[in-house]
Amino acid sequence: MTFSGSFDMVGLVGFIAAAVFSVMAVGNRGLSRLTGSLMAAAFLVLAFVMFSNTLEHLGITAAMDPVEDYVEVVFFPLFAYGSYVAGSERQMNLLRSTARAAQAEHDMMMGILDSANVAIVMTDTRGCAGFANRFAEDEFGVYGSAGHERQGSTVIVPAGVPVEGVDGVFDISLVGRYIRDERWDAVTAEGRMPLMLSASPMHARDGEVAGAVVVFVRATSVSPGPGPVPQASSAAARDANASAIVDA
Amino acid sequence: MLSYSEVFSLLLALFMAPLIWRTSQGLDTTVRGLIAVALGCIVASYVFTIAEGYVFADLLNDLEHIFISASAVIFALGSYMLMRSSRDKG
Repeated sequence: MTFSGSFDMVGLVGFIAAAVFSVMAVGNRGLSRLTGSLMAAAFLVLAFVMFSNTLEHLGITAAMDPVEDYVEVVFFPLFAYGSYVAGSERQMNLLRSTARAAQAEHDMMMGILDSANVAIVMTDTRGCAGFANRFAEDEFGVYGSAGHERQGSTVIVPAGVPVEGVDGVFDISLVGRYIRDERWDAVTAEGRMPLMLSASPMHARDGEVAGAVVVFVRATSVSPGPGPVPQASSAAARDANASAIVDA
Repeated sequence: MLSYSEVFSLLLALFMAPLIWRTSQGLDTTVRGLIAVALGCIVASYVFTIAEGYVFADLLNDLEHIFISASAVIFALGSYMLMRSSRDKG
């Protein structure tokens, strides 16, 4: 056995071990079957080369020597392909886990929105409701829609303002400005319902106003603040608990 | 005497090694480093294989075999670490 021949034997054992470990690394939390197979095949290619050299150095046979160079050429394409497949699989797994996390966040947010005791509606710049939580649907008949047609008959306008000219659910005067606890009315076939309404504008990526997030409750359902509640003159404020709608 | 298959092997290795490095992003840093070193040893052995035909034949021939066996040991170590990490994640 020559000096270089002994290294060839070490190489033979090393590449066989690498192939075996590659196959053993296959599993749900490791390499995929395809990646493990490609890696193992690549290592076995070089193991063959080492085997051929070992036999030659031991003086057994040199019959595989002419084939050796051509077999060796296959190593890098196999290894590169296996590496590429593994990289793609990691990207796909990352995308899947990101999508799952986003879906979980979405489900949690929807749970919060639908559990709230206030109406939460998202509108576009025309006042059409794109999203309405369950409270808005059940209490006020406000429904979200994917298009721009008004669903249901409820129209929400500032207190005392007529509904003529309102295309969507909301009067567009709330779009583009911050509103805090203003008196608005929900107008239905049964009449006007007083609301306490707050709104915040939504912006698109370019900074332009894209709509509004609107939060509202019945004005009579507002809980009392600190101190005595003054006498109110409007019909909607007769409820002694409605401290937020006192006449000025 | 120049062997075209050896030159082709070297050119293929030089072309594919950066691709392998790029696609191995996301692997454990140590494993990725071991792969890089092992591939470097193989490329070096290809260089020695070609160069031994011109100068220092015995020395470069020995270096060729030393580097290829070194790459085998490093690949075995890297594969072992991959196997261990795939089982530790469980």
